[in-house]
Order: sequence, then C-alpha cells, then structure tokens
Amino acid sequence: MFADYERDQLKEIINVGAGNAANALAKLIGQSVKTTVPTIHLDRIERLTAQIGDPVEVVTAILMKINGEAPGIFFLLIPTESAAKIADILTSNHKKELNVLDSFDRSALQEVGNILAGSSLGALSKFSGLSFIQSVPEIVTDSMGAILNSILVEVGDEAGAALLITVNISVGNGLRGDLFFFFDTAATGKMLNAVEQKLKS
Amino acid sequence: MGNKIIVNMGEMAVGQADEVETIETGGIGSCVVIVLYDDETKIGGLAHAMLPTNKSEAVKKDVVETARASIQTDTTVAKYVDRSIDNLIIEIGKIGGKKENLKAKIIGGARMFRLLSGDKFGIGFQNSEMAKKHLAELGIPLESEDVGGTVGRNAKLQLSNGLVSVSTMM
Repeated sequence: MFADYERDQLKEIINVGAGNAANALAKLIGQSVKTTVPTIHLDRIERLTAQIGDPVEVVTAILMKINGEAPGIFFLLIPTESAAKIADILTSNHKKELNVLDSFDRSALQEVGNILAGSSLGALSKFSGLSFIQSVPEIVTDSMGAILNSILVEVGDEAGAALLITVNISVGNGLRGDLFFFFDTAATGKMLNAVEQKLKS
Repeated sequence: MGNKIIVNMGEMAVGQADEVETIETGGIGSCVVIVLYDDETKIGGLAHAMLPTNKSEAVKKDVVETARASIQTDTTVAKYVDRSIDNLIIEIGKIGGKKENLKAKIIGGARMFRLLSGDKFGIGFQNSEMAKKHLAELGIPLESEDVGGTVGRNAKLQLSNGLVSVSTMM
C-alpha cells in the first residue's frame, strides 16, 4: 500500500513528533528519555494486537482524539508499574500504595498525555502544514488486548486495515511506555502529500 | 485430556470434552465472545468476534456456503458477530454437535473509551445486540450474558460441563 520511500517519510514525520514528545516528558520528570525509530504497522486490525504485545498484560492507556485536517487517535500505553512511578514523580510521592492509581495520579497522567500529544502534534503540524486539534484526554487501565481492540475497531475502516505507528519510549530506571499514532488511510495520504509538497518547495 | 485451546481476537475454536478441556480467550473489550454448547454430546465452541456485521459485503452470498468455503485457519472466520455464530454452528455440526441442543452465552461488548463511542452506545453495544438478534433468528436460546460496562474481560469455556467463567483484569 505504501512505497518504501513513503514509509521512510512517514517514519520521519512521526520521529519529529515523538522526539518533541520525549523532550516534553524529559522536562516534566527531570530525567533523560530515549525514543526508538518509529515502527509502522499496516495490517488487518485482528492481527495488529498480537504484533504489539501480550494481550493480557495490564496497561494504562491515555488517549486523545485528533480532529482537524488529518483525523486520527494519539495514545500512550504505559505498563501499570511505570504509570505508577511516573505519577509518583509528578505528584511528589504522595502515594502510600504502589501500583494503584488513584484519581490524583490519573489526573496527573492525563496531563502527561495532554502535554505529549500537544508537543508531538505541534511538531507534526509545523512539519506538514496540516492543522490538528486534540481532544481532552481519557485514561483507562485494563488488559492491553481489550484496550487495543476497542480502539482499533472503533476507528479502523470497514475494510479492516489500519495504519498504526508506534514509538517506544524509555527512561533510565526501567520506566517504559509506547506512543501510538493511529491515522485512517485518508489522513495518512494527506500527510504524505504535505511532505511531498514541502520537499518540492 | 488436559488440552486447552487459546483463541485470539477474530478467531474461533470448537471441541469435544474427551479431547479438549477448555477453550479460552482474553482481552475482550468492545469485542463480543459467543459460546455455544451442546449439553448432550459435550461439544462446544467459542468465537471472539470484533464487529457486528460485514457492511461492505453488498451482495450477501448464501451465508452457509461462504462459511463452508472459509477454512478454520482463516482468521476472518470470526471477525463478524453474525458470521461467526453461523460458522460456530457449522463447525460444531462437523464434529457431531446438534444445533437443536445448542445453548448460547455471550460475554464482552464493553464500552472502553467514552471518547471513541461518544454519546452513542458504540461498537460494544452494537456487537452484543447483533449477537442477541442473530441468536434469536436462529432459535438458539441465550442462557446467560455478561455484557456492557467499561471493563475488559477474559472468558473460559469448560467443555466437560459447559460452564463459562469470566474474569476481569481490574
């Protein structure tokens, strides 16, 4: 569906966005954050979950809808332990019980999602010239399979194929998570077009 | 004995109690899992379906014929709720189960994200409604259901007695 050079372009666009998000996270928690090169998954929705990880692992998802010229979904999946640790850092260890997220933690994590989405979409917008409008964040903790499937089927087109771009983020002391950019095929086409225009000029 | 089958999203499996102990599936969010069980022959099946129906299939072929054509390894076999119920009945029939003995249970159909389903009920609700509707059309009694809500579920069918246990991660 995409040529190799288009895949590379797409990776580069997302790389710019994810780099900015990592930067924002680093500032937020005061530690250096590493990101991997984006991985592009283009497949039937029923096959995507297995490619991403263990469906029964419990994760916390922070999700925002992207509206505007290239609609899609931006979400973060963080293993429960990492989510609790990040919340701990942000809320200055107010918590007594580890690995349980209370409403204060959840609110802090939603804000993390908000900031990461804002910084990466801002960069994407600058790069592509497209405008993105992000929704308020929503946070859900459940098994990864249930979370991913629900996201994929709500937005995956009837043809059943979806484009999902993932970036793995890690912080020194075992904190990890994944950033997901999920666009429908029309939005992806728009982004590739915008990049091409930019390269020509 | 002691055999267990694990079913992923969009897949299905059938079995008989002498050969298979349990059929399990995890990570059921807005998907719906349909369990059919024949108490007499101890034959049952479980399907993990993702979407209510195939809307793009403009001309609906004879459902049974299409289902027969698709082999069990084809993962699209249980992608749609209505088709997967048909497929389950066919596969159960192949190993000796009787349609008139079948009883159904449905699990899942949760609304995981309010942002995505909006004020409407979302895919989860549509999935469980489709399952109920199609089971009624086929005359298969719905014995019990654990649907809706906002949490993901895991389901396990015990083939020796047809019991289904449902657990949540939270």
